[in-house]
Amino acid sequence: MNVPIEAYLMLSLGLLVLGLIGVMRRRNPLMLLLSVELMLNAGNVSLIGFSRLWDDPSGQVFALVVMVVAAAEVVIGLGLVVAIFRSRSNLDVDELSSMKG
Amino acid sequence: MNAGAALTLYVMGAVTVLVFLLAVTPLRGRWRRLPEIVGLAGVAATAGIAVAQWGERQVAFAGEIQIDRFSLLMTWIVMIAAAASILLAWGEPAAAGRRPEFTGLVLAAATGMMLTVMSGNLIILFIGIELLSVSLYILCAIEVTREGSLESGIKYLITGSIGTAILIYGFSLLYGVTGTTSLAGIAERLGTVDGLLDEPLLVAAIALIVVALGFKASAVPFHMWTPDVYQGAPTPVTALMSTGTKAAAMGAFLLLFTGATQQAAGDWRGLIGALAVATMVVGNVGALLQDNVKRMLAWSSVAQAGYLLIGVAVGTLAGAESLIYYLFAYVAMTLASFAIVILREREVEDGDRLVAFTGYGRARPWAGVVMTLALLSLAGFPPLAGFVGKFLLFGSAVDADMAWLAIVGAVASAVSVVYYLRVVITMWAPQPDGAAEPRRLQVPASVATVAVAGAVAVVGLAIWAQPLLDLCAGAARALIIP
Repeated sequence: MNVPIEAYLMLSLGLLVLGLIGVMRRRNPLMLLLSVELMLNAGNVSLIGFSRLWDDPSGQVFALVVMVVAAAEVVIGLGLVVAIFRSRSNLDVDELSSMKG
Repeated sequence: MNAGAALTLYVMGAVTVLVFLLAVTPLRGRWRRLPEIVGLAGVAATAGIAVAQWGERQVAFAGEIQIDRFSLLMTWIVMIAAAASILLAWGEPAAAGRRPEFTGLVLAAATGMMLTVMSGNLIILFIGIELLSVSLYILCAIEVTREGSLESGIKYLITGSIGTAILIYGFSLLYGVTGTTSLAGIAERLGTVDGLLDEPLLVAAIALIVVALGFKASAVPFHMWTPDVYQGAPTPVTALMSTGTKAAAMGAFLLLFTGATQQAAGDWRGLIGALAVATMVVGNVGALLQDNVKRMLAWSSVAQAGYLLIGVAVGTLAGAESLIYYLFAYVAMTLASFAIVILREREVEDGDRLVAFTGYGRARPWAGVVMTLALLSLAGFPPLAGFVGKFLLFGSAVDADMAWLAIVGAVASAVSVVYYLRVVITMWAPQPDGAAEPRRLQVPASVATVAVAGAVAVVGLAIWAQPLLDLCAGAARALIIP
């Protein structure tokens, strides 16, 4: 089956916009991390789509690399969230505002 | 194919792993400092190899890693930043118990910065940027018991990952337009395939990449995280972020724009120029309002990113050459000023507040002189390196018919004099009557070394600018893909 490149691009654009909306509207750091994950996967979808379009494997290699990096970021994000939760038992990024200006 | 050319990367990788191994080994007594010493030795060895490799371009791994004059000179900047941040954290009381991890993460971040500037491929560039970002997320939050540090870490993580996601999307579109991830391949396709330059996807890709690198270089309007993160992070980490990360981000800008997409310069010159103008204006205005020196330096680093972006926006080799020179000057003056802030922070509670510096120049004249030189150079006063760099950057803008960049830059520098001089005047003001004598402690030799070396470089780079400029010119020429 041959999926046209437009379909890949529409799907990835949709994911990117969803992720951006999530980043702007959500206040819980876990939800923020999930939204960023959506945006990263939007990039992956379009990388793989273009990789098929050009019949070139480097796009797929790139997507694999992105997955590894995304996993690393989430691990650190969760670690930080746990550390913050321990010290204040309340998760809302708007309350993380000891520094302003 | 010459895998040995990437020797610097092997050394840094091996030293990083070694330091992390030492971090899990109980070290006592005189062995306590071993991780830092190993780290500094690794940095010195890498810098030495970079000197020995100076010359024509060598490639490793089928062109994925490029060792040329550009990447070697940028490696030097990164190594200076890494060594300084290890020295600045030497004996830091707040980080006690975590120093080995600190050193390891600084080395990992420095490896990422090197990988970024050596990359010949979008994938490697991405891995480099991520290696440095991920290491810095942890470094910001390394004082896990202090809330400001955690807050700084999570803010950096969230804004940084948004930047990463946008970067990936931009890279994927660039790959989609050109069908290759190699920087040389992209340059070749853009130059040979008709009609590619008018492709709307290419414009979108360039815009997304500019936005994403703007996040990393803290350019307006993606700078919102900078003051909070810089203020909250431990000061040696702030010093690394504002020097090393900025150098790596500017290196990525040069590789991607002045290098790989030079053919499409018409698409990005105006965009990056507008970004530079906004960054200079907002950064300098933001810095005017601060009463915390560390936060003021954070805003000032936003403003400095604006000056640096001029060198990218003009798109010429002269612009790249002055940008690299200004990076050296910027690293020297930033490290010197942060070293003095660290000194004060260790002496008194809330030592990063402006009031804590009242009369500090009289109490410790050498520190006052170092800080004065560094801040005057940041403001661009004539006989100092910051002036030479700005002069060259503005000159390159005029030569490229973008004089408006130079005009905005000159006005912004004039504004910046206000807040830099305010710190200088506060430092040399007499102690207010009845104020308690500031607690003074033995100056740590490591911090003093960084401060004095930075101040000497600020003067030296201006007086002997020509040898460095020759090196920078060679580095700029290496950007052009044959």
